[in-house]
Amino acid sequence: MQYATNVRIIRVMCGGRVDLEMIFSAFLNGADGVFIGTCLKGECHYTSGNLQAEARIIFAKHILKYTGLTEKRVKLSMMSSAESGKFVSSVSDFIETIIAEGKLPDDANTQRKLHAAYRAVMGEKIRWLAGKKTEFETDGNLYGEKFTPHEINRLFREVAQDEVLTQEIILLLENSPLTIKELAEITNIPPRRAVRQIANMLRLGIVRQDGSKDNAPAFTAGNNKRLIEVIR
Amino acid sequence: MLDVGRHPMIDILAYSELESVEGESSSFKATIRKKSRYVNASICNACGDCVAKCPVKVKNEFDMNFGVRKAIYQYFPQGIPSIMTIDGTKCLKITQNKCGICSKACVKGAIDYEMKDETVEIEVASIIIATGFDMLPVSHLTQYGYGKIKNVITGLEYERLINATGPTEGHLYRPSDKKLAHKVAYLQCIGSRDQNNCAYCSSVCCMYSIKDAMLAKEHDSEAEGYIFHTDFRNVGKWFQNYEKKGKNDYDIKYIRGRAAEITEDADNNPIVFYEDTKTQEIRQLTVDLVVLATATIPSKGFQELARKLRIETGKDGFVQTNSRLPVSTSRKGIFACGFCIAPADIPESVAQGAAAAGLAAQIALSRAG
Amino acid sequence: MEETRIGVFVCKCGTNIAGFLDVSDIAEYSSTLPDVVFTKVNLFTCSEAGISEIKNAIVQHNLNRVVVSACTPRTHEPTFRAACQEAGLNPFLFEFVNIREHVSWVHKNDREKGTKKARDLIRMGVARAALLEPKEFIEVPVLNEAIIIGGGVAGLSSAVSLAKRGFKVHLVERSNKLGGRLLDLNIIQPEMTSAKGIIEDILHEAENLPLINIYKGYKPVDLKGCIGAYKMIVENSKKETKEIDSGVIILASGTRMLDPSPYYGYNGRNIITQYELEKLLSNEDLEINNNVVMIQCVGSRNSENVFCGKICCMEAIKNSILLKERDDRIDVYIIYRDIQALGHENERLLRKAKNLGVRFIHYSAEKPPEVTKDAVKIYSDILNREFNIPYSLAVLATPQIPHSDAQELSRILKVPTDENNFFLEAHMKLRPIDFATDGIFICGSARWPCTVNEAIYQAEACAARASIPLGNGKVKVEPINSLLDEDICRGCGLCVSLCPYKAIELVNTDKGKKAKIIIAACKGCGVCGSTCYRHAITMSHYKDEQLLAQIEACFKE
Ligand SMILES: Cc1cc2nc3c(=O)[nH]c(=O)nc-3n(C[C@H](O)[C@H](O)[C@H](O)COP(=O)(O)OP(=O)(O)OC[C@H]3O[C@@H](n4cnc5c(N)ncnc54)[C@H](O)[C@@H]3O)c2cc1C
Ligand code: SF4
Ligand code: SF4
Ligand code: SF4
Ligand code: SF4
Ligand code: SF4
Repeated sequence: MQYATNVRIIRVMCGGRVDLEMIFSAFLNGADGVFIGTCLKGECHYTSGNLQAEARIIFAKHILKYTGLTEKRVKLSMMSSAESGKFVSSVSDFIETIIAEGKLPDDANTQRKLHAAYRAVMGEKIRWLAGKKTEFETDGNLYGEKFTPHEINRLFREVAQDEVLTQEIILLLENSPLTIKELAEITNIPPRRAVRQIANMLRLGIVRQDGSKDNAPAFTAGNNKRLIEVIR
Repeated sequence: MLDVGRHPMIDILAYSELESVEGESSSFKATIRKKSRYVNASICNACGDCVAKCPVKVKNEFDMNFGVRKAIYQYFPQGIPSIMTIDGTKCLKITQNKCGICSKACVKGAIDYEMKDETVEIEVASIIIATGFDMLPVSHLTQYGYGKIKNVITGLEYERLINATGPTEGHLYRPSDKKLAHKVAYLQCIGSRDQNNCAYCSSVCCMYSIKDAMLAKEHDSEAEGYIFHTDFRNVGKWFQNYEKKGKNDYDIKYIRGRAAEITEDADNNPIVFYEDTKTQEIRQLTVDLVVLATATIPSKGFQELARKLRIETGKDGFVQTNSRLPVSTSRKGIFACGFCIAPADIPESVAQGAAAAGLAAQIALSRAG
Repeated sequence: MEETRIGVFVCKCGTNIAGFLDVSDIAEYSSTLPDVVFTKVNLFTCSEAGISEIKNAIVQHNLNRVVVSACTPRTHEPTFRAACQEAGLNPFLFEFVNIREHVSWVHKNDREKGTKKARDLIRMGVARAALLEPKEFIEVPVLNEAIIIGGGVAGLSSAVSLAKRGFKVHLVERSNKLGGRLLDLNIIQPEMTSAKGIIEDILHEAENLPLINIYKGYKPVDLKGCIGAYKMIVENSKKETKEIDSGVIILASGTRMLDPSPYYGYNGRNIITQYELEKLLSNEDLEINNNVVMIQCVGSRNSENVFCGKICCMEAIKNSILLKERDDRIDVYIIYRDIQALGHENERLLRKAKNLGVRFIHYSAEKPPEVTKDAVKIYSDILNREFNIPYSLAVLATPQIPHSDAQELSRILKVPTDENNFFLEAHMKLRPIDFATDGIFICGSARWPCTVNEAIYQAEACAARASIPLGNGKVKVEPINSLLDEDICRGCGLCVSLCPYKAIELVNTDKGKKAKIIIAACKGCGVCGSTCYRHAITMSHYKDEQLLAQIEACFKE
């Protein structure tokens, strides 16, 4: 039983220990892909840690996609400890996928987006929702509404995009004041989306207006102590 | 298994057989013959250097003879204790005084061709029998063609084929031409519930056949499964859900009826003849592979063991237990668990194991004071 | 702070590692890593010689961290931890790097890249090792008393077993009499012995054991604590409460019968349940004239109760035999979907019934029978014809189902139920009588419908499992557990609901609601730490910074 030498293994007690922080820290440090192996569904050595890992991976995939990398760069594979063959074929497939995708681009754009992603997964919203997934599916939310996998997926996608964009804008504005037009161009989003995002962020006080450029208002990062606090 | 292997209070006498038991509850004296492995257990660490060099190839019984092993081998890779054994009937050195390569290959010097069987006597407070089962040999049931028609295999053989660590790495290559089998018929109650063979129900086959058919589908999306059953006996915890899932999500066809006969066509495809219970017509289905759910019987040599232990067995050859304490045998201090009492699935066997351990420990502890 | 001094041991494992990797290059490289002050190549690190080399190096070189790069921790981690301990080093300052299963065995054809991978893994291991902290095993005392919920055959059997071993037992039974379901049954198959006989024997044993305390008419209403020190409040119908302390709990609360009234015109007179037939049959001078028609799978194996009642087929067979033996002229029909006569004894009874002339007619779920005022109409798909069977007694096989308050009990004990409301064990195959939470066990039909025989051996199994902590008087917990920073926690309760072992509870403090870790119950899976949106929890021995250091080191050649 042989496979390519490209993986480096880190041992954790359970897939449920794999924090989104670790996944994005790996990308920031230069990993081209992250592979998570867990027990089979219903056979988790720690009862249900694999389901938590699964919930987080949904986020990880949406975030990667949004940052312009492919969601293929993270993979969760469930297997039993006796299935060495499955491990080998699953890892080998993954290595092939990553080789096909190529190395992680290290241009400033990607790095900034990854940095924003890292901040987003350190933030409260994504973590909270990932933790609530199993409850949403079985017992429903506060109002007893149950979510289908499809609805979860949509919700997670929207939140992932919103959170990463928010963090990306903050990162940019921490450097220098920018107008909505400039922001839209740099982050590659439609201007209308940028307007909406900035309006929201103004309301939350995480950005504030700071003079103007070319007759358009410019913005800068607000007092984000609380947002930054959790990020360390 | 690993936990057992490294537990300080568990002494494993593998590759050993019970010779006799004297005495009574709380002070049995058991005589055990440790068969020679020709390998020094305290030195070998199963590195496998010897195996790589051994020139003799024999059929691998752990892989239901599908693969090959060497004359020096480990019964299966995760085996405990993790050491090598030389098959004294196959080894060239032992049978013909030739070769001797493995002794040179082993840098630790663990090989000892002169090693003899050893008899040990141990004193124990109580005894637990957990000898499990064997499968009924079915070549005499000529209507199913097992042994003649290559692509008719037993459920246990199928388990090895579909197992990811087995000889085909989980691919269902059928025996005749090693081609992937897509269309598979699973035949229930082969020799079970049959007055002339095993009059009883083997209890686990209905469920494992569903599992087998699901596994095939997971490996190969084109797999088609046909289960020919009489009563479909899926009573255990969540088994009905499993049965439904097999039908709805895996598209397994459940067909009520005992298959009457199997023949084969020119391409070695088995043909199953069965009665369609809806129309009372005899129909036929040509498949790539047939899997027989053969009856389970008390394990080989069990009757002799029961005699040595002086415990009663019941009509079908299983251990006779006591209804007030279903894991105790007719002899005080001797307990039983698992398949040797009656056909049982894993959770049942595990629970019985714990029960037997508790009662056995009680005797040992009260003896220790 | 003490200087970090790491020793790295690189194992050759004979040729298993050395045959495929450049071990001396690996060792040389290891010696250049930060904080590494000693490196050594061993032929077999796990041998006596290897172990003493580790021990000597710890003493001579004043090592305060040990990294062994060899094989899988599954086999030898305990060996090396013990070696550290014997040399006076805390065993949790040891780190295992696997360069055999993870490198040499799986990259046999690429010595160069394999060697590089081994170097990387060791660099990562060293980075983690530098951040390891000493840990002590945690010991929790266990009160040697047990609470058993339910006084049926299962609860009584485990009570007797535990009391015989010298443990005090508190048996809590909701009704006013002990014995459970068996009090209402007649003859028990497959042995065909009297149900009363069985239960009276056990009751007699129980009553003669002074260590068994019986709480009749009480049921649990609240539970606090964890393995070793539970505190349960039980209450009776007059709302009087008692408080019971125990080290472990066994749940044996059994089932109730499904309400038959929606099915087949049930009237309790000539259309009754098998359960009611049991009572009729225990009456010696019961008069039954001609046809008895038994209908199987009533209210079970359908969309609302997906499960199979498991014992109702054998019950019907048993009762059909009793009827035939009582009066051969009675015609008995069993209308079934699948006859569940598993095992050797049951199949024999099935044959006996057939020999006695009991008639079996198969039906499929799509075409259930119809019960009219005086006949049962049934289409047999096997015979492809319809039967119209007059009856004087129609008997419905309704299943046992979970108690209506199963959910409440599940909430009080903090143990899960499955989708059918039966209690849910830790692992379907390997841990059938344990709950995931340590110290609580489950047996009898509360787990899943079962026979008396099964109820008894499951009860014995629970008693056996429970005897371990009770007998030891303590449990030892590996110090890999969650660590809470109370100042950061907001008391949201997310971790509480996700912990698979119910090892976290919310408590009121002067700073408001806060999570509190029950160390004895925590298994260290890390779910809570990696979920907490406030980053208030980390895991000891798998701390965030330890794992992040490993990730960082991976890319820092
Ligand atoms: C009609 C019928 C026929 C059967 N025939 C056979 C047969 O022939 N052979 C055979 O082997 N098996 C037979 N069985 C199965 C057998 O009855 C069960 O296996 C057995 O009774 C299970 O025992 P138990 O202790 O788990 O549950 P039970 O006997 O139901 O006992 C549970 C006890 O827990 C108490 N309890 C419930 N909730 C609480 C609470 N919250 N707090 C405190 N106490 C509580 C109940 O009052 C009861 O006393 C039959 C069952 C039925 C229904
Ligand atoms: S002596 Fe020869 S045949 Fe026998 S085990 Fe050794 S190498 Fe193999
Ligand atoms: S420690 Fe592991 S790798 Fe080293 S000799 Fe022992 S088994 Fe082989
Ligand atoms: S035991 Fe028989 S009657 Fe009861 S639900 Fe199962 S199949 Fe139906
Ligand atoms: S999830 Fe975090 S914040 Fe919420 S209760 Fe648990 S520790 Fe506190
Ligand atoms: S580590 Fe796992 S077991 Fe321990 S408290 Fe957290 S979630 Fe529960």
